[in-house]
Amino acid sequence: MAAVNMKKRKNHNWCGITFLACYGLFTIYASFFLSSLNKDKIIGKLSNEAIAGIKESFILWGIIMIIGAILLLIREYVLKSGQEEVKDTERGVSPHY
Amino acid sequence: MNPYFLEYTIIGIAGLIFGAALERGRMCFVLATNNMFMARDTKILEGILWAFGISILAFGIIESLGIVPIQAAVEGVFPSGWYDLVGALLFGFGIGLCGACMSGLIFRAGSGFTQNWMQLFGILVGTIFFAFFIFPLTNFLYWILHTIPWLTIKPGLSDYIPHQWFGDAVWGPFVVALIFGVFFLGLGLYLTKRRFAKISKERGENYKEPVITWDMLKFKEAYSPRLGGLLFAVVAIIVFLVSYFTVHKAAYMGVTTPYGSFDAYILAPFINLFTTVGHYKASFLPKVSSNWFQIVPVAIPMTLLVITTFAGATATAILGGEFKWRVPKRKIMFLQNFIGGILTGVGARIALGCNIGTLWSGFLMFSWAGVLFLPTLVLGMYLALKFQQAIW
Repeated sequence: MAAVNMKKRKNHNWCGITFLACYGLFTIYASFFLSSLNKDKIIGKLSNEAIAGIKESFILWGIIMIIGAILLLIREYVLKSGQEEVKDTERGVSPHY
Repeated sequence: MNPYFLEYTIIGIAGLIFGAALERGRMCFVLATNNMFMARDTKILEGILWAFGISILAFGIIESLGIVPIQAAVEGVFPSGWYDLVGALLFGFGIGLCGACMSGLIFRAGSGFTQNWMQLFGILVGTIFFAFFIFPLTNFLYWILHTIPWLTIKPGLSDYIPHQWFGDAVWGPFVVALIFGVFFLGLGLYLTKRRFAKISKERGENYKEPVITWDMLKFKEAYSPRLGGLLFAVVAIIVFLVSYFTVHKAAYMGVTTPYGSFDAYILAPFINLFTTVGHYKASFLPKVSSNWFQIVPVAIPMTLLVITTFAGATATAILGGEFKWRVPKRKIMFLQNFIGGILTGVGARIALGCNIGTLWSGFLMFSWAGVLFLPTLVLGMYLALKFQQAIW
């Protein structure tokens, strides 16, 4: 049954894994601009302590998301367990599909 | 340890839970409304009602017991007024066109729905349009902060319903929470029971739905409305408590303001939106204000929460075997979603937030914002549904 379903629907997990890695990269990228964007702010300026803490957390979460993407990559292409799950949930999720 | 690091790191975990709750629970206000109007199916609406009910009651208890003092909770209370009605109508129409609210957008975009990425792009464009044109040209800040009788209520204690009704009584938040919370929970319970009765009648057997199963925990099955609602509430409580106990500033859930930060980060190598002053002179207005970016911090905890929510939704979609790159059959939907996204972005900025930041958090703040936002939001979504039925 799983094989029949797999024929019907291609596995796009590689794309989702790329998304996850991109979220991580974006978080790290954003962390580099926190100080410069905050520097000349007129209202709502954050303290140096706040910017330092936020920056460290952004970098940490960026790394976590990239590690998560690598783990999913291993699950998908080394363990191949992701390829056993092929479901289609389009019905009822969006009126446009 | 740096308290801001602690705050953002824990709120990042809350974002992952939020993403899982959204994606597995299909928590989308538009989907809930469309299913209710078109298919008489209330399953998703039940989840939202449970989320509202549980979280409102929890916030009432937290504030009445003094776990988070009322004074601290009140600092984050929004002003309410005419802009909630106007913004919610525009926002509701926008999300109706896109087929996804702000929570639905995150889980759909994270699950590979391409049109929702276009909606997100529209919101980013709409936010910039509001920030540099609508905000300074209408002197928006003045009309928000200037109290107009019957049209606006000042932020903080003035817009705190327990204070308006019961003065400084510590049990005030609990009583208000009881009124709103029991209403939402009761409605959720009624709709759940009615749905069970309907299914039982159709199947000829007593239908019951488990709140939680192993398959739900392993991401193999969609979450029941009650589990989705409970996780939704847990996330709001984590955000509220963590922000207070780390940086002593209670934070409420919000999704659209972070998109302003995303605009700033994306454009940072080219232009600093936070310091680009837009001194537009408008002679008919009392005073001139600069662009919207200058009144929001460069980062709020919700900025990280939104990113990890996307990550949580994408991860659970992959683990559940439901991730798919979905392109709509009619390519015109991309344009519809882009326009809808702009309306969504502008509407959310006018209303000072979206269905999460103003509607849900409005109730959690015990302000009038949520009460004002709800009717025109539903009207906007209904008009968008009728509009689409007429043109397609």
